[in-house]
Amino acid sequence: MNALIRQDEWYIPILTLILLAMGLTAVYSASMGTDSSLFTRQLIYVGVGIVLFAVAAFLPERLLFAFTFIIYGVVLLMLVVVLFIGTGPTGRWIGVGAFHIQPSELAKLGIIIAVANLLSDKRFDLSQWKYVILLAVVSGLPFVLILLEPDLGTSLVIPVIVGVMAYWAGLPLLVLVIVSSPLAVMLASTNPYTLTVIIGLLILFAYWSGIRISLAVVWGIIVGAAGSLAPVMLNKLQPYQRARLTAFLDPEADPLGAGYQLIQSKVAIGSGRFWGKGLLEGSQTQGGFLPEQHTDFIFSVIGEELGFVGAAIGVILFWVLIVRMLWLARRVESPFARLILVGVATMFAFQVLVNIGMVTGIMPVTGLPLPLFSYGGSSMMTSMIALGLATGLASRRRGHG
Amino acid sequence: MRFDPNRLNALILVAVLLCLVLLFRLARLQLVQSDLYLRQSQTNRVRVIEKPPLRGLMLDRHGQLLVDNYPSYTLMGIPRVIRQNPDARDTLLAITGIDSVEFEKRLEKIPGNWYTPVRLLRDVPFEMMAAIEERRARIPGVHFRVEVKRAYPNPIASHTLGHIGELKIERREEFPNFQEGDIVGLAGLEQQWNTVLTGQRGYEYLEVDAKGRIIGPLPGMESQDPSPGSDLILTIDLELQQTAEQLLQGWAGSAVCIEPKTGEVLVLASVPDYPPETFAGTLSPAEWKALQDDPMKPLIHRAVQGSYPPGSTFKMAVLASGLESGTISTSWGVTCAGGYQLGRRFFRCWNHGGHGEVEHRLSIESSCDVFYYLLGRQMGIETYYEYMSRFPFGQKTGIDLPHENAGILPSQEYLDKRYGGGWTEGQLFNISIGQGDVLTTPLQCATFTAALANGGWWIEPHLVKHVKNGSTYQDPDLPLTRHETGFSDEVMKLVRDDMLAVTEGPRGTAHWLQDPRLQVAGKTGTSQNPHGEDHALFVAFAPFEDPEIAVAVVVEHGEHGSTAAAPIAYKLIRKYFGLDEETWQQYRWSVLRERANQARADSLAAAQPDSPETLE
Repeated sequence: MNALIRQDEWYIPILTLILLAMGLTAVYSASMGTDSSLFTRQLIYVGVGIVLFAVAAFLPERLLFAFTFIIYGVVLLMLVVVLFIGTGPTGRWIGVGAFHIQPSELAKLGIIIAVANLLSDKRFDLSQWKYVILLAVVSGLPFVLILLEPDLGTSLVIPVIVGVMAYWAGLPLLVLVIVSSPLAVMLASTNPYTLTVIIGLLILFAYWSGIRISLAVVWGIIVGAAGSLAPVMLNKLQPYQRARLTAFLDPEADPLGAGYQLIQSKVAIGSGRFWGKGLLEGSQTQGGFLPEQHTDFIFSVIGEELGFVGAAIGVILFWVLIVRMLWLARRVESPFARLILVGVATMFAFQVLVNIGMVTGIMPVTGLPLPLFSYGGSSMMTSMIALGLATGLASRRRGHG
Repeated sequence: MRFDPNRLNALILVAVLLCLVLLFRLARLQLVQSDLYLRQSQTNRVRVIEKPPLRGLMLDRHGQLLVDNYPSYTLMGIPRVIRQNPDARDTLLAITGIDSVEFEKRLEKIPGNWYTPVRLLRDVPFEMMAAIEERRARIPGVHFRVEVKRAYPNPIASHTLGHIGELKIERREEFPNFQEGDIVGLAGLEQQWNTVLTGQRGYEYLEVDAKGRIIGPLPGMESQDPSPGSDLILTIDLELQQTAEQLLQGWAGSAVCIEPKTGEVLVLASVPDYPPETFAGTLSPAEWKALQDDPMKPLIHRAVQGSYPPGSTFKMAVLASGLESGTISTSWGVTCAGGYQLGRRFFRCWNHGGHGEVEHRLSIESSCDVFYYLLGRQMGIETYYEYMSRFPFGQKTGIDLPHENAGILPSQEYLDKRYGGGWTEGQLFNISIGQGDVLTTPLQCATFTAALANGGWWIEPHLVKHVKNGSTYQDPDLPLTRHETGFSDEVMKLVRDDMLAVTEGPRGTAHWLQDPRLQVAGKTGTSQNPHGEDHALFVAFAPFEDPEIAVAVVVEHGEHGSTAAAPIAYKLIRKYFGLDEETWQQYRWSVLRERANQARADSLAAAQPDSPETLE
């Protein structure tokens, strides 16, 4: 009888609508300070997003499963195409008529579906190296393509999503640490002290996980050597490439761009205090002190005009949404659906953490948009499709055996 | 694959922890440190002051200053702060004397942006500045900005130099790296070379208090000095340009001088003009309307934007095309009886009495129209267009100025389109003497003359000789393409010899201008136009052997090329070679005296056999 009972998931759509309303309010306010046509366009994006949400929610799981690798292939193709005919100020868009699509945004969805498909297979045992490598290749291809655009911010979302999905699917923690160690070492390489500490921790962790101490030390030395070579390679890069990398690693080095934005963003949020200055009353927002506030720095509008109350409600709503998806992952029975729920939850958690961390000054300025809030069509499409899929997969948790 | 519930619990735990991290961070900013940030935002303590770079100067080819800078002070105001202080607003109106409606309009300049400073008054006099500074505490939200204004120590070539001004939203697209309100070059060389002249903006981060008074530099923010724009060393010759403008004064027209071998433009004159500083300050709408509605159209740069039928100055091109294409041989000729009957229409030669037997020499020397009617008909439109389009007609010359006119060189398609296929040989007759649908700019005529002088090639005419940055001179970033016409040396030489006959031959149309000190090859032109008297044209190059200068002069409604345009061209050529006018005048008198004496002697000789009463 249970198979006939259809239980609907209401948390996700209701939370989504509340967050969308908050986001639209923020874009409206930011657009008053600069360009009022932005709001109208964002309204259209939200409308399209709601339609896509509904379509994704009613998409049968079997169909999604069957089309996984077609979706993945299309995503890869778009990522290759954008390298050659990319338009827009950063060359990350593909123009389709009057619209521009940012393939790196849609790629995140493609990867979540593809990885969920692989990991949901019973034979896919992550304690065997060949499966780990297969997983690394499937997720590494789009990662490298996005890195080449170059879009460092978006490309970093991918290893995090795949890492968490694989962890949930039983990837040994040791493998996760070893695979992610080169990246950690590379990022820490500009500072020799941090590098030494990280290498030390890696060796200790490897030893504690039951590897022979000699092997752990050899691993540490190899990774350490590679890491210390990174600065040398940095000098071999083109000046503009180096500038991009150092601006990511050390945004204060560029006070005119990222540094200035950060100062203004902190002033905006801090001056909002407990209740905020009131909608459309934020002097930082309305004064246009924050360049491009409607995209990556949108959360500072909430912080300034709606205060700590508004900002905290925003953060908590995001986390209710994220925890709800993780909690649903336990309840649904299909491994494919479970993994997609975890993937979507991770994508949201990472982006919200990095974005709000950025506008409050505890994360580097990476240019990741805040889902459902930031102005922009591709980000809105991706978020809405992801949440629609999550809703649909969770709703049929008893209807699908 | 195995799903471990503990792992999911760990993930949920991590997620909740991360949520707490963000909440703590928000609490720290908005609750703990909020007083600090509130103070900063209340006073809007950060003000980014743009430090405009010094705009590059413009000098003539010999280093004479043409465009200079001087500083001027602009009163800036922050709309929101001023609106909140009605007293301050009234004080400002009283001091500056700005009309209150106009004042509101200036505050509304950038709609929806209440905190971006807008220009309230440009060119503030010193006394007014002092008056505002004195009352600074009572007038929050205003400050002064130093802006560069242009000065013209040698007021010439206003169309060519162009002007600078505030970038308006309508033209925002043309200047990708500039914002509305920035000072940019809006016309002429100022526009074309805007990026080079502008330099790099600097920024100063200042800390200001709630009343908008500057406290000092913002701690922790290094200000960035602007780097000045580069100077332009132009190819223009100040004295020659001045001479050209003086000579054209009172007429409407244009004079262009080019160095044939380099493509450097020595003179690019357009008259009537306007004082170059017209657009340097504020121009009232009435003044602007007066300039725009002036029937003499002083705003048009006639040298590059005017379009004139080239008239007979076109004949060298038609003759060269006829010879090069093999349509005619050098011995080909016609009989001119003052015109040609084509169907029911009689096409006149300018010489109604007729030229008699005409071959190529006389067709140029004495400018016979019938020769070209028949030559054009024999070539046909396809050959005509194929060869004529090798000259700089019907295409932009590529000079480094905006809005150059391409003119019209009719092709078969053009005529088919224009007349719907119903065009006749009459059109071909007209375009073969540089009339009808043919339109050229004076610059094209000069470039064409330079191509003849060079023997079949020309370099794109240009106005910038060097770009000077500090003390280093660089070549300008210009495509100085050498265009080859592909006409043979023999044809070019023959055409040049024919041009020499115009000034030196016995029947030459500019024979009377001959100067014994210099061999000039030229061609007169008279182009009919439906709006009154004919336009007068003259093109020339000199010295005949190894030419150094090519000239084109157009005088609107000057009636005949040899009387209105040619003397101006000759004076420019003499000025260029440093030959004085006086000597030529004396020579001219002596020729006239000689001719008078000769005539007297002739009439005496003729009268001799007759009776003395003829002397009465």
